[in-house]
Amino acid sequence: MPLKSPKPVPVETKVPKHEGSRPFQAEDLQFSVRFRGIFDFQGLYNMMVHWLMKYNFYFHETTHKHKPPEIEIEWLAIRKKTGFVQENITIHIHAFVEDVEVIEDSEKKKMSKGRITITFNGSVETAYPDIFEEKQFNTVLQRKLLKFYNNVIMKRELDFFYDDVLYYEIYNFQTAVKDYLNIYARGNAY
Amino acid sequence: MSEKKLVVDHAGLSYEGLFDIHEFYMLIDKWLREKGFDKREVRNIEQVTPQGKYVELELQPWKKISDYAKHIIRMEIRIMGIKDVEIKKNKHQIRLQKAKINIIFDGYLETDYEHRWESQPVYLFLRTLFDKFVYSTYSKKFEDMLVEQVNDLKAQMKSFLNLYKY
Repeated sequence: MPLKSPKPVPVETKVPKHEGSRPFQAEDLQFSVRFRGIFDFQGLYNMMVHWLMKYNFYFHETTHKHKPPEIEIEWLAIRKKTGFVQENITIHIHAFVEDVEVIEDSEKKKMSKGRITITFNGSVETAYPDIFEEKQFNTVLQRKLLKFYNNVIMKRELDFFYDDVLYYEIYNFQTAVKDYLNIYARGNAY
Repeated sequence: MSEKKLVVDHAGLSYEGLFDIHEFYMLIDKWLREKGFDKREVRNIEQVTPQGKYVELELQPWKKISDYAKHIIRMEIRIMGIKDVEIKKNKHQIRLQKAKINIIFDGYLETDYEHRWESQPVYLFLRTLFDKFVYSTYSKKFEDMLVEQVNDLKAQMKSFLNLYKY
């Protein structure tokens, strides 16, 4: 009998949705950068990882697909602000690149030529799973109470102290990527 | 769904010549920050074409003016045929870009953006009556404010581009 291939294990690439998970204002609110030309892909990758670690995000690469010339990478960065609030950033990188050698300042340098799209998304999660990965607020009544607490009692605090701060941090991250790629529309006045 | 009213419809601005794209982008950023807008960059595309570089930007900054109404300015910026040039000004070499730029402005007034008055048909009906008969003077005032802000931004961009014209 032919052997069956093992069932693929589902990998959670997105932050699981539950009552406590609050994406920014609208589901489709995303930051993105699209670039076509010659750039240093490895350097950009390192810069992005260092940025996340510098801002105390726990960095996790959930997907890495490399089928030359296509590269698809998904990252999930988590930062626990308090015992109740957690900030998440999901980054999706999709690139079609080929290696080229470029002479810069009379030195040969390995770069990548192609196109890259980087998409950033963020959310503030309340009542995140504890250290045993067990979700709290599991019953229907508990979830309703959590929803009431998030949307009525803590709404202003979550909006001003967590949502806004994370929103502009992701914006700074996008600015760092644009500065690295040296695109014309770069810079940040905020 | 919140109500979105189109107040400024496809106001345009075009320019062809020398200017600094990075400084132009920073001008928009600084203006939005000064006026208290929250910035949202929907699209930022840059690619190399045979005619020169091409940059496409779509910005949708917003500003909450009350807990019921919000201003949204949508800008579509297309910069075509970008070529880097160096010019000499007052014995200094300045790096600029020669390109053609098209900008389209749209202004929207969004009401009930927190979706509080649409959970039931009765609330929606009350909201419509309130908007039409009670709150209309304030809505008109908010629309006038939005038109003024879009015109101010457009004037700032024009004067910036005119600096490079001469």
